[in-house]
Amino acid sequence: MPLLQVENLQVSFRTHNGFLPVVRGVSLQLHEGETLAVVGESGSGKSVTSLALMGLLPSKARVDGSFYFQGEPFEPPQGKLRGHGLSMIFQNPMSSLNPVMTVGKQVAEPLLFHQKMTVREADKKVLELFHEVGLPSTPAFSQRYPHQLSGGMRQRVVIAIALACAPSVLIADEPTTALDVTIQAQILDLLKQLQSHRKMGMIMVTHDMSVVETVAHRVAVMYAGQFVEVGSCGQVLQSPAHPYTRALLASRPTLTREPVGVLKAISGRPPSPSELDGGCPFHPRCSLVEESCRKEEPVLQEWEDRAVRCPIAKRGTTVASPG
Amino acid sequence: MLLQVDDLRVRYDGADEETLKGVSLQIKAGERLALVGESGSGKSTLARALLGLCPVVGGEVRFQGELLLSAKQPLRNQGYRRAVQMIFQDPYNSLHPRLSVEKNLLEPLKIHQLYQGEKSVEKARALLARVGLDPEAGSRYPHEFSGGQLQRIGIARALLTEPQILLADEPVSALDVSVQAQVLNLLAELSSERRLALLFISHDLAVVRQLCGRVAVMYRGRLVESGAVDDVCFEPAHPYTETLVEATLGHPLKKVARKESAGQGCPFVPRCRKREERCWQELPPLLENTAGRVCACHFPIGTSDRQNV
Ligand SMILES: Nc1ncnc2c1ncn2[C@@H]1O[C@H](COP(=O)(O)OP(=O)(O)OP(=O)(O)O)[C@@H](O)[C@H]1O
Ligand SMILES: Nc1ncnc2c1ncn2[C@@H]1O[C@H](COP(=O)(O)OP(=O)(O)OP(=O)(O)O)[C@@H](O)[C@H]1O
Ligand code: SF4
Ligand SMILES: [Mg+2]
Ligand SMILES: [Mg+2]
Repeated sequence: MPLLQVENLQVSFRTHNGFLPVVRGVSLQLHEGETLAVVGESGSGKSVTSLALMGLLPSKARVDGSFYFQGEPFEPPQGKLRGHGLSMIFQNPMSSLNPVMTVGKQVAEPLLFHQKMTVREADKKVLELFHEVGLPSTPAFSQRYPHQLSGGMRQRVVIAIALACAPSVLIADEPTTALDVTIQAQILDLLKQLQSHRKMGMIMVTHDMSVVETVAHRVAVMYAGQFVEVGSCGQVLQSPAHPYTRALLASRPTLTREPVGVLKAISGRPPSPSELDGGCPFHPRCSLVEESCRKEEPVLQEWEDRAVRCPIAKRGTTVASPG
Repeated sequence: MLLQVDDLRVRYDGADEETLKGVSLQIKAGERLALVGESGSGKSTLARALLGLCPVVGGEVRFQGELLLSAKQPLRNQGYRRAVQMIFQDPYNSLHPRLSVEKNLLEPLKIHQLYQGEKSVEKARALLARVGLDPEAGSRYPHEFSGGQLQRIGIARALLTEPQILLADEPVSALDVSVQAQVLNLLAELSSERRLALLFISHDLAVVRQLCGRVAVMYRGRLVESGAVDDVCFEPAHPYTETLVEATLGHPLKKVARKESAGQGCPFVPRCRKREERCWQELPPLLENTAGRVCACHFPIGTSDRQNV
C-alpha cells in the first residue's frame, strides 16, 4: 500500500478573469522509503502541488482531488497529518521562519510539542540537528535570529525543523538551492540515511538534475500544470522521451573543458493558464509538433516502464536515442 | 578600474568577529567576475556592503578611481547609486508586496529620475518578455508568482535602469535549467552589448564557467583563491576549491578526519586533505603564484598531486 496517494489533483486560482487552472490533473503515489523528484518548468505548478498536499493554499484557490495517507482518505488541512505525518520544507525559507524567535527555539518547538521531549532533551537534540545539517552546534548559534543568518543557513534551519518533526512523508521544495555543493552533498546524505532508517517517503521538488540523480528513485517532469513524463530516475534522465524533458536536459550547462557556447534554451515561453488552447500545452515550442498536437490535449499514457504525455514521441522509436 | 575593493572589512553589530576579514578585488568595465564559496562565507555581505547596506569597519571601495566608501565615509555618491543595481538572493522580500509587478519595475527608474513615461513602460514589458514571463505578468502582484518567476522579475527590475554594474546574488538558483539558460544568455548578451560589469554570486561552477571570465572563491570571510575560470575549475590550487570542483563533478568527497582547530591557523584546516603541522598555527597569506592567479594556502595543489579533476 502506498504511503501517500493523490488522484487527479486540480488547483485553480480565482482572478478577475474567473478561475485560472494552475494544476491540471496530477496523480501520484509515494511508497515507504521512496523519493519522487518533481522537476520542470518554473511556474509549472510544483510548489502549488506541494502546498495543496499540505492544505496550505490561500482561500482564493480551489482544490479538487482525492488524497490517501496509508490507504485512508484525508482532507489536506488536517492537523493530525502535519508534524508526524507530513512535513514540508518551503521554497522560501523566510516564510516558515518566525522573524522574532531565535532559531534554536524554532527547532525545539516540534520536539517539545510533537515528540513530547523535555526542555533539556530538546535543547540537546537541537544542537545535534544543527550539527547534522552543517550549522555551528553551539548555544550561541541557537540564540540567533533568522535575519542574522545567510541564505543557506536559513535553508538549513528550515531543514532541521522539518527533521525535528520526524515525519513519515517529507515534501521538500527546493531544499538545497542556496547551498554550496559540499554542504548540499552532506544534506542529501543525511536525507538518504533518514529514509533508510525511518522509511520516510520524500517528494523532492528541484531543478538540479544532479540532486535528482543523487536522491531520487522516480522522477516526474512537470509542464503547464501536468506531469508530462514519469518514470524511474535512470530511464528518464538517460533516455528522456517527452520533447520537453529532452529539451530541458539539453539546456543544462556542464563542467567540462569544452569551449563555452550559447546555451540551448527552449525558445518561447510556456502558456499562461489563460492561453491554454485545448491542444498540447508544449506545441508552440515543440520540435516534433504535428497537426494533431494543436487540436487535442495528449493524455498520460503508460508506455513500457514509464508514463508519457505525448503520442508523437510514443509512436517514434526515439527512446533509445535522445536528441 | 570600474570598481576597486581593498581590504574590505565588515562586522555586524554584536558579532564576536568580522564577517568580512579583509577582501580585495577589482572589476573592470564590462567584466564578469564570479564569487563562489561556502554557505555563510560572506558573499551576500560583500555585495550588500557595496550598496552601503552593511557596517564597514575597515578598508575602502573606489568607483572609477574615486573613494566611494570606507569605515569613515558612508556611501553617498549619486552617480554610483545610479550605476549600480542588485539582484537580491531572496526574491520574495525584494519586491514591494502591494505594488503590481509593473509598478515594482518602474520604481527604481522613478527614484533615479530616469522615468520616461510610456517609453519606460514599454521597456519594462519588453524585459519581462525577455526573461520569459507573459505580457499579463505586469498587472499581477508579487504573491501570485512562483519562486522562479519572482527571481526573473527581480532580474528585469535590475536591468531596467541600464546599470554599469550588476551585483547579482544567486540570480538563477531558483530557475529550471531551461529558463536558467535563457537568463544566462540574456546576461551575457547585455553585458557584451552595454559593457555591463557583473559580480555574479553563485554556487554552481558550471553556471559560473558559462558566464564569467574570472572567479573568486570565498571561505569564512576571506578570499582563498581567484583566477581565470578555467584555471580555477580545472586546476584548483586551494584544497577547498578542489572539494567544490570534485563535488560538482559528482566525485565522492574524500573523507578527512575532522578536528577542531584553535582558530589562529588556516580556516580550512579542519577539513583539509593537505594539512600539515604548520596549517594549525599560521594563517596562510593570499599570494600570487602565477600571473593573475592567487591562492591562500601553505601547500597549494601542484601538478604532481592533482587528483582526477
Ligand atoms: N496565490 C496565487 N495567485 C495566483 N496565481 C498563483 C498563485 N500562486 C501561484 N500562482 C501561479 O501558479 C503557477 C504555478 O506556481 P508554482 O509556484 O506552483 O510554480 P513552480 O512550479 O513551483 O515554479 P518555480 O520553479 O518557479 O518555483 C504560476 O504560474 C504562478 O504564477
Ligand atoms: N544582519 C546580520 N547580523 C549578524 N550576522 C549576520 C547578518 N547577516 C549575515 N550575518 C552573518 O554573516 C555571515 C555571512 O553571511 P552572508 O549572508 O554574507 O553569507 P553568504 O556567503 O551569502 O552565504 P549563502 O551562500 O548561504 O547565502 C554568516 O555567518 C551570517 O550568519
Ligand atoms: S593552508 Fe594547510 S590547511 Fe589550509 S588549505 Fe592549505 S594545506 Fe589545507
Ligand atoms: Mg516553486
Ligand atoms: Mg548569500
